Amino acid sequence: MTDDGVYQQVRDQVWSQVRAQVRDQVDAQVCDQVQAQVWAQVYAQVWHQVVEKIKYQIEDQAAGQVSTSV
Amino acid sequence: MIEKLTEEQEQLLAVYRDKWVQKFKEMKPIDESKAKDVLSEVFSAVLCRSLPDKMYIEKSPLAAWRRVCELSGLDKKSPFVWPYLDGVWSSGYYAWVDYYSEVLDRKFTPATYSYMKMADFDVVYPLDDAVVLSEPLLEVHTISGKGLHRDGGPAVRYADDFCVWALNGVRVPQWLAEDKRLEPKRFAEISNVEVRREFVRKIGIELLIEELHT
Repeated sequence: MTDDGVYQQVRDQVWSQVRAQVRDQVDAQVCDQVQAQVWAQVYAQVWHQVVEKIKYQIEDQAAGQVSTSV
Repeated sequence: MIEKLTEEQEQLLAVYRDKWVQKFKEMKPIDESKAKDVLSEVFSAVLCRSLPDKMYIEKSPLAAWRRVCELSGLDKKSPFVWPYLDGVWSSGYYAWVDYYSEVLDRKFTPATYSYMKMADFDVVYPLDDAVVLSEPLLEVHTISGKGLHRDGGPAVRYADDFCVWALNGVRVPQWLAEDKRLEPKRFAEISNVEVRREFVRKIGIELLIEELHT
């Protein structure tokens, strides 16, 4: 876990490169449209509606709280 | 330079959105041999190092985290850390690249496509000497537009019975999701406003007022 920050940078670099490539080849308005209608909606439906709930449940249980607490 | 999407390309926005929103509901159990092949590629292309020999496949993200604590010498009650290699849970990014690649014929670096293979996994913790994975969830129940929902059982269940209970997108205690006949006095046990709303929705406001006045 010690190199966590380094690896996170590497991961972020992958997505930064993707963004840069897209901006070179696609008009900004199209970029915004794809971002809003694909990325943002998947992110909202998967991350906000599902992952966050799983994450909070794990946080409760990992910290030793009663598993059913909210 | 692409300056405007065609009508067909616009229609495909929703198709790619739905494809990737569904992905986590269709996950298959981990095949260790295939996992090693895919993760070797990801480690090499994205993390620039080789896959450790030791691989631990746990039954849930909670079990994976506990294994990480054990291997890293962390206290069992250490604050939980969500890994940055979070597999299918990064679907928003994969959807985005997939649309640009398939619909708009854009090409990205090999590392990007290697990274997208993480979509076949749940969480992955890349430690120095080992990699710890979680099996995907076994069961998930959602309600359109709100997220997790199941009245009568867990909305999310993993193989070791790590569960999440939720009603209309609100995480609730197990008893509130599963009890068929709620006792009105239990309303007082709830401090969270959203959870209180789900309690009232389930028991019915008339019954709650009647019971609390008796």
